[in-house]
Amino acid sequence: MTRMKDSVESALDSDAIVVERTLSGDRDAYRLLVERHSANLFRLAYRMTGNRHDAEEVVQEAFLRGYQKLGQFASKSNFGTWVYRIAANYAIDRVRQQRREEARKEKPARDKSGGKETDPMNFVKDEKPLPERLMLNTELRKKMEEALDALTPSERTAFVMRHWEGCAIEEIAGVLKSNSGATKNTVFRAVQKLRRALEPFVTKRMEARAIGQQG
Amino acid sequence: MRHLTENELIGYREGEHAEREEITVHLAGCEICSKELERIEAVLAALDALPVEDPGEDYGRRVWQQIAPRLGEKPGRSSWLRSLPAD
Repeated sequence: MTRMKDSVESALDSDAIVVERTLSGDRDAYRLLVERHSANLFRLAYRMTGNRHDAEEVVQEAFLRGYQKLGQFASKSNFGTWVYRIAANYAIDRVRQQRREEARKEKPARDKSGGKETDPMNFVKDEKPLPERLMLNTELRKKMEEALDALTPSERTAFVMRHWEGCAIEEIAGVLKSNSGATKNTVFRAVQKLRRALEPFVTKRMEARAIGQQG
Repeated sequence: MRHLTENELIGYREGEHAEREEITVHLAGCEICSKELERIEAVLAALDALPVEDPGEDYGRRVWQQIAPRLGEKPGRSSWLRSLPAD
């Protein structure tokens, strides 16, 4: 346990040392920080944006912004956490911007349907029931991606950071620029929406598996 | 105790419900609420199986190659701002 603690502290120390080297003008030292933290940032960005291209853009932009703001980084804090937050902030801004652009392009169609196509409740109700045992994993995966896409950028961010990344409510609130109470409600609303959208398909898959096991 | 609302069950699952012990006791004796919690758990468990693409072992190196030409000679250093959080 002590060894693990020492090892964690040593990793943090080395990040702090690398930050100092970078600030002293050793630009290539920043490479170590990029190589250490890229995979973590990619995982967060991929879950927030839902695709590889946007995730890669988010990671690059986060490190560029991190470099530009490195002088603002308090060396006693954790560089990984700091750049992670920059990535989360940029990812949510980027997704919001993309949604606004899509809304502008799709405005005429949405006006006709009253915006119903964005509500996961409606898209589930509109689905024709699929025959049992035909709900393959790939189809469920598609439904899950659609359900995540149907969340608002704040809901998706809150869900990703809380459920998959295990972040504290206060940390998520910082990214959403909201308070803890409102952030909790955003997490709860995201779970509710995902449940509404996915429960019929998850139940079908479980039933199909049970039938398969019996047969 | 009345049956739990969906919000209460989600809050319990997230570890964000103040009356946690009371709810635990209720769930132990209430099949309706425990089944409801199971259904929420099943959806979240299915979401856990949603894969994240693997960026590859040399991903960090590739990120560096992409951003290095865009970095200035020196990062911004403004000592009076060092205690501010990232925005």
